[in-house]
Amino acid sequence: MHGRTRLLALAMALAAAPAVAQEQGKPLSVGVEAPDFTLPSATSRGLGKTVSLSDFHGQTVVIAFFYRARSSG
Amino acid sequence: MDAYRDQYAKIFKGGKGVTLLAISTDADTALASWARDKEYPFTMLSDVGGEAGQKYGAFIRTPRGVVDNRTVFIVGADGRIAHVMAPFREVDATAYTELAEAIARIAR
Repeated sequence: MHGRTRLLALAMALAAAPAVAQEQGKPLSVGVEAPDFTLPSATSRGLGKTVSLSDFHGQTVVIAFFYRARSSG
Repeated sequence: MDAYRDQYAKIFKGGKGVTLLAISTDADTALASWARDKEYPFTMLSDVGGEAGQKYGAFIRTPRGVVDNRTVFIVGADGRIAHVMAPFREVDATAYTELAEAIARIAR
């Protein structure tokens, strides 16, 4: 098969293939040091200062990652 | 998020000794308007680009970009991860029971 034809065949096969599975992260495990982060904050009173995990050193923090605002999860 | 709000006193001791940080890849303005509409009593953080989610392995890479995946981590006073709920089953009442019990155990 001519190189260009082969490339075209490959492109067509890829286009016809089902959507590529989404890559999902593997969550950190218990015992691991929690990585720090610094992010813009928001509350019911509006926009706030940036918040870092290290701001809460010595306290218990629940970090709840979720998909999207105004969704169930 | 409504369940976190409605059970805030019970699960998070009303925020005394334990802090809830709710994180998504939404813009801070979107989170603020949602928090205002729903009167959420906790802080939300804007992880645009999903960097924090990727640090914690709590993300899904989609053709349209990275979004944070529903996962709950409890970080103890020593700065280490003390409890993980992955995935966090947002609509399952038993998930909140487990969360409350874990917080009660960890946040002394």
